[in-house]
Amino acid sequence: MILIAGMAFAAGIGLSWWHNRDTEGAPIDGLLWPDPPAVPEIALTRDDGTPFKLADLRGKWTLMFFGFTHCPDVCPTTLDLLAQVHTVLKKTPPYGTQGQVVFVSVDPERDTPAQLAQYVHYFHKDFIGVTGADSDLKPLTQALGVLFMKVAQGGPDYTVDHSAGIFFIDPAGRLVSVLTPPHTADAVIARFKAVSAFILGKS
Amino acid sequence: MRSVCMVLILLVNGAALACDGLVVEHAWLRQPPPGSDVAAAYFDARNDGAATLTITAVGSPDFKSAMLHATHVVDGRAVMRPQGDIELAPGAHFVAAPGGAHVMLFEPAKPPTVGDTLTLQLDCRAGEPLRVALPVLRDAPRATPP
Ligand SMILES: [Cu+2]
Repeated sequence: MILIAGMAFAAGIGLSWWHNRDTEGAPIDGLLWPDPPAVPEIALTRDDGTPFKLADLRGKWTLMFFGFTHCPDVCPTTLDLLAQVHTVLKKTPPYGTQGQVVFVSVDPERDTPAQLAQYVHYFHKDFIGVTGADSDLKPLTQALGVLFMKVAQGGPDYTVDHSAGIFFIDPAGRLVSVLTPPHTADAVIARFKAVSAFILGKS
Repeated sequence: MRSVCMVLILLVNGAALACDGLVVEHAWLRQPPPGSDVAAAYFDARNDGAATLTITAVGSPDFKSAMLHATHVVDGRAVMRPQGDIELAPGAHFVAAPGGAHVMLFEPAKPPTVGDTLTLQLDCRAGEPLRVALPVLRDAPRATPP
């Protein structure tokens, strides 16, 4: 039996909104321009227990993915892919010196920072795991239009429906693009190169 | 009379060994990352028999329980739900691959580790269950698109 547990942390905006946006002046597929949503101040916890704030996104090119460690299919598949992407992009600027992959757990009840550290570093030693209380996750998920929802699976177990997009955040802390699944490493790399070149050309 | 009936039942059951037509290839289990207590397995199935067959359940003697799941992307969200019976007409295929259908396995007898070969079992509506080798891999074989 599948019961909707009713715990919807829905951002006000659906994930499909960027498809419908005015893309005038945006030659790159999926580029959120000219009004990229800005990440507000956030107070999350990094996998080593230290704070993770907006300042940790500033000055970096971030590939962000949302999930949880009890997610056996989409999360490992996407994190393995992001490990390939990270390895390739690290070889060249601008990602080379300023790039980071951030995995945000939307299941703080089960994913402690220590558990997240083990989990993300299994995929790549550079990866950063981040989580926080539901109320602390909300400013970030709302700004990015990320939706997640707990769904009971019978018994005490539950799964979390979550955004499967890969979110690109630029060094100014703006969401500049979102890739929707199914993902391929080549497509993520190509999109990153196109989007980062465009943003650098604007600044 | 009673023994004749038994023989007849056995014969009828024998003729309906639907899992006999089932061919399962490329089965593999993703090594669960540390801290994760659920595992996912993937496989390619094909009905090489002459009659339609129905896969009704999946399991593994190496885990406490298992379920066939499908991951759907709905409005950009990854949604994992139980998948019903799989009906395969003669010649039909069913592919369980990352990002799509998978066998979700709970509570392993011991943590699955790359190099282990476990067992995947598929039950059909009729006939004997099919058991295939389930190697534990770090990631999808490169031939399988992610
Ligand atoms: Cu599943």
